[in-house]
Amino acid sequence: MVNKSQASQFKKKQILFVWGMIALPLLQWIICWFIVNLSSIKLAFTDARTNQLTSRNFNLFWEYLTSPYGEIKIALSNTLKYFSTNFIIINPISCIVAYFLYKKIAGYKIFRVVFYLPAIVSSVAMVEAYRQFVGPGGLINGILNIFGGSIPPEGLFARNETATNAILAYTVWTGCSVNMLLFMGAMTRVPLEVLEAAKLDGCTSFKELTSIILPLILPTICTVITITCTNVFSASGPILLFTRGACNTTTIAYWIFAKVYGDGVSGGTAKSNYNIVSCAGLCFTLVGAPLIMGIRRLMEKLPTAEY
Amino acid sequence: MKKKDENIINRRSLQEKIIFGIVFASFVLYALSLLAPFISLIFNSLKDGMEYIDHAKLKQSFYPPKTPLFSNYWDSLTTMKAMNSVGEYVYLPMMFLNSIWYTCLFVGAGVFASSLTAYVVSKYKFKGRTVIDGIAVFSMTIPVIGTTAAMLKMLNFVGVYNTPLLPIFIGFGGFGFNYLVLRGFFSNLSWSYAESVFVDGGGDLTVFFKIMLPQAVPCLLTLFLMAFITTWNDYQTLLLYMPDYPSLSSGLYLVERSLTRDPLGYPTYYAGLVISIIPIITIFSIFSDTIMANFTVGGLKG
Repeated sequence: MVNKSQASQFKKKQILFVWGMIALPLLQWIICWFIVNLSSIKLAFTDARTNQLTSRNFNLFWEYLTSPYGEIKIALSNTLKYFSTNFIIINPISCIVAYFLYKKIAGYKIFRVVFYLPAIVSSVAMVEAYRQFVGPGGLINGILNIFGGSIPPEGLFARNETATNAILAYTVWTGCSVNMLLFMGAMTRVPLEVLEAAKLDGCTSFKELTSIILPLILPTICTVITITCTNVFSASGPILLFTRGACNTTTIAYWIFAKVYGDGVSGGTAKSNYNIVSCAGLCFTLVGAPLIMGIRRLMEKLPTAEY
Repeated sequence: MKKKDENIINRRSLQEKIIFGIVFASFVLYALSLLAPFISLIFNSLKDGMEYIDHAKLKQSFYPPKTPLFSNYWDSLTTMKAMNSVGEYVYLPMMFLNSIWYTCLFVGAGVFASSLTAYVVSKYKFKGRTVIDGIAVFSMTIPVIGTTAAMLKMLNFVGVYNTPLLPIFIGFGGFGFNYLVLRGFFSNLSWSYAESVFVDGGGDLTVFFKIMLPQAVPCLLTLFLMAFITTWNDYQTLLLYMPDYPSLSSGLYLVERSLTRDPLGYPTYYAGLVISIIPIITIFSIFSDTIMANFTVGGLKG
């Protein structure tokens, strides 16, 4: 028989255990998330030279955003291009590719591994391989020459008109891997009995995809859409590796990195940029946070099937 | 029974067979497009410096080398270097070592910390439990942008900037994606094992380390592998926060920056790139089934 004091001691030990387990991760969150965010807000309202509270950074941000050749204006425009590409092209393609792999198209095991390669291989290597592939001396130019076309001698990444589109093409080329796996995982959970019954009723593959599989994997589709929208202002390609922001290719994510990284000789040497970076980050967060909350609410309202 | 179901499901009409044929051809082309650049990269890694430049001028970069120069691989190991902030050279084998310890510390700390928070939140009722769960979900879904500068200041203030302690410090986050997956996993584990241990006089730590954690090994392994691949390939974090410890990814980026002054060095650089891919491809080949099998709705099996 356990008496009251023993039970109380047991409870105390448990509380000690629980907080002992959580203490360090919680402290890490307080330092690396909470205090860092507060510090970032403070930086946004601080003058880089005088260290006094100011709204000057916001004026500067507005100038960068609205002037015809403003850095942030170009960065925002490109970021939205990357976001749209993710949303309209990469996500649907990933879902379609996942469906055919799930339906065990010939060679699906090999395709699955090869299509996942871009997620495994370092961007540094992927970008170099792609740059050679689409460069003036590359295979694509060789094929284009056969049909009378050619890639400009200076390459696609050295021209304002082609650089961003070439990087966008790279993101499509490499972007399907992880989402494809997520969609495939969800499709694998669809009960075979449902698909079998539909097939016996004469259901075509198209109907099977649109009327059975897509509604049943709606939670995963919602997850992918939410993740894509969460990253609306951080959508980007590997700009640092392709152009280092030249030829109007900069994005918000790259602009932030470049401003903090500075000349790149040693990390984070550009301290005078910290304030404008934090200010821009705060403005985009204030726009992005309600947007993503709204989208999440909308997604939660969608009916989902239990199986 | 399952086999029979699958046979019925995968039975295709003529029209569907044509569609699958077209899709198959597209998949083959896409797969080739993914593999061809790497073959070209390997070809260029085996060329002599002059041959590489000549091929580039003649728009024949994808041509195989006349005589494969395997010594480029040895050269990349012995001569390829990146300069750190104090002007010291870091060679490729050192970059490889940096990649290993940085990735293992960062990922290990992250997965372990998440297992601690996820376990107590899913198995214990205590004051603040809902708040902690809310923090985890909130900080994951709110798109906070532009805190890089504040983070850099914080790391300098704490004194871990550009030190080997950094991966543990920034990695020991108990929340995020790992937390959500592990919370789902631990919630589904039976508590009766724990009760038996308590009856035998064991404590909460015994239950966690000897009963619960061993059962979570497959899930932890998958999370570890996925994070390992991402962290191994991450170059921006190291460029920003650990400039004196270039990894394979960040170091090769620094090497590439200096190559514009010496185009003859490209084949050696490509050899270094190929070497940098080998460990991660090897790990993926060994554990690909584990990674693929554990992906389901919203991420991993919980």
